[in-house]
Amino acid sequence: MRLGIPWGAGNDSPLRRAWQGALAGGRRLLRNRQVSPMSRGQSVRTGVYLLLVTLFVGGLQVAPAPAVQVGPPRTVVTVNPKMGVHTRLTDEVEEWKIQRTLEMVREMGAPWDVEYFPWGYYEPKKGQYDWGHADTVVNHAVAQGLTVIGRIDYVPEWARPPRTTFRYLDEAHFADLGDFVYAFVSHFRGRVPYIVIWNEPNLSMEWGQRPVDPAAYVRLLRICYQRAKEADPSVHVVAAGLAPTTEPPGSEWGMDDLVYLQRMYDAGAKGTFDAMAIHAYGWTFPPDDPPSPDTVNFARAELIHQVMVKNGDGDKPCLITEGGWNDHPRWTRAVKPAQRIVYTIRAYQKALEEWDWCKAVALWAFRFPWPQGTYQDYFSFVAVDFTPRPIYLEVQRYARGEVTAQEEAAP
Amino acid sequence: MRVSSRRWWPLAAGALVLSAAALLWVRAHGVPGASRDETWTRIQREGVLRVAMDASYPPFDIEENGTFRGYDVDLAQEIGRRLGLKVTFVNVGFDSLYDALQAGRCDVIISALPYDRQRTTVAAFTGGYFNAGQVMVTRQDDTRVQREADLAGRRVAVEMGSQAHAEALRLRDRVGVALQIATARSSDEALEMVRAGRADAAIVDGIAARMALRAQAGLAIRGEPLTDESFVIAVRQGSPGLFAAVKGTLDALRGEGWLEKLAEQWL
Repeated sequence: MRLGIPWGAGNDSPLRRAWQGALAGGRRLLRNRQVSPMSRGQSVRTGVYLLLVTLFVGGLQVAPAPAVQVGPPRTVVTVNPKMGVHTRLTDEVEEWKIQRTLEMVREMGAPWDVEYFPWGYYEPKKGQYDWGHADTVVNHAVAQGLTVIGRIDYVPEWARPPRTTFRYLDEAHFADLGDFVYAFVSHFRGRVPYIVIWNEPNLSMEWGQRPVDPAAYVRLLRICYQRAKEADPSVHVVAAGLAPTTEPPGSEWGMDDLVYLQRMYDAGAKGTFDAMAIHAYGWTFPPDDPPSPDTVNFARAELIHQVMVKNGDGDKPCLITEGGWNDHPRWTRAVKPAQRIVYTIRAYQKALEEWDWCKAVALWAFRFPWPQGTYQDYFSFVAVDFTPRPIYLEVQRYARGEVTAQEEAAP
Repeated sequence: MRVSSRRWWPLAAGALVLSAAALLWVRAHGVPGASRDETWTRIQREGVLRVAMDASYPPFDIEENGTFRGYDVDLAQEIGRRLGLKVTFVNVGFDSLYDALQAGRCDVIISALPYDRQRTTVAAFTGGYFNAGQVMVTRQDDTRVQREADLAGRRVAVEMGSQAHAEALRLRDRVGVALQIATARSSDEALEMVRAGRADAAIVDGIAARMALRAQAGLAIRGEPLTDESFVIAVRQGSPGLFAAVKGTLDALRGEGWLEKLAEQWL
């Protein structure tokens, strides 16, 4: 932010007039050596007052901030090309903060960035697109050498009935999301190579507070897939990450993710996506805790992949687009901060060394634009004011191939 | 236009008289709005103060078989006793405490609750009653560290990834105190490193420090806390009568040294 005296475009701007008045007062003082002491004093006061007013008003007015330069293309340096994070730039207003966030992602050594692109923000009226903010985010991410995975959902008001949530999309408007996907992929061709259609549709809340419907989601995915490929055949269409949950049959809250994925295949999902998104939260379990259908842990990702293998889709890649651990001191699903660091680094290692079907591990959530005031803050790697949390520094050391604190601390 | 200084005096004198009158009125009639405090009116009528806590945080908030105990429980009971109220507890998850307050499921939150500037639109906060901020700990026989600058050149143990670790990084990288950070897997391990002579000092939170000192001799807290992470009591906004009663009682407890005695009892 730069403070200055913005004169404005015209010759008669108030500031210009004030400044000229101050100058005139000074000139009168110099010129009128013969004037009475009283007149000279008034001139001095006038000049000084106007000068002070000019400086004060000028100081109050903030000059337009200089445009943030996207900068030359950078490259992520890392020992683990699968490392990634989920950023939260959707509601970040200031461009320098967007840039700084993405710089810090690169500096941490993570080449993958998942970001949310709400349909309702960018198509406020049918067929009327506003890509301004999305362009800013994507351009900076690309300049930092990051591969962007764009998550698309959030139904605009015009595409849903009154008194429904922004997660509600009925069949009559599936084509509208398809149109948006076409426009998005066309606009970001070559810049956003992966798009995720929807988020956790196996939860009632995420499906518009309705019973979840895998077959309906597959119909939506098919439309979006076709429209995306029409716009850019090279774009990767990613099926939504499912909420890892062991909800029993008939639950009003949602459906077990493994069951949901099988129901998707039963409904003809094969051929409607190029990659599968996975949400892999570890809760209180370490990353090497073995997977089990009745347990939610990081390795549950393997079970999602097994469902794909069982349905002849084993050659499709998976992308972990959310996941990780939380170190809130009071949350029941949190771990100790030291555990979080060890588990996080091990999770990145595990994907690199053991999961050849997993292309990226983008953990939740790099930084929030403002404090959430909840356990969510303790998923972050970087504080709101950009102070790196210790986990950021340790992951960075890992990505640089340095000895990490956990290795130093090991007996 | 220039206003004569003589014309200011009547205005200033008038403002002074009005201010004095307003102060006298408040003293005579109490805080404006307090009489319209429905929560406080109900509490006084029923004689019950409902306290929300997340009873999973020993030694402050503990629940066993339906019985609540801990530092916060004793504090709530004492506030209730002094106000002539019976105290009942509502066990709520930490992230739902403010929801419980706003929804009227409780009257106050007493639950090792850190001050949260973002919540001031929905809650009024008392001053702190316990500072859980980061402190420096050394061996009892080592008095060289009394302030943060004294950590320069010393090996300082912290729990890896913790707020203590973040504070050590801040001191080293932003304040310029040339300390050497040694990470441990827990606060206890960091303190053990000090006891064993593998570190000159540890930075741990105030609770861990006091608990360690209680459990084993040979360690001492040095200097003032490095950070302020005070626990406060929250009252729903719009309850000035209740807020004044709780805050006034807490201030009295602090002034009497009662809070420090309570801390010694539990920590």
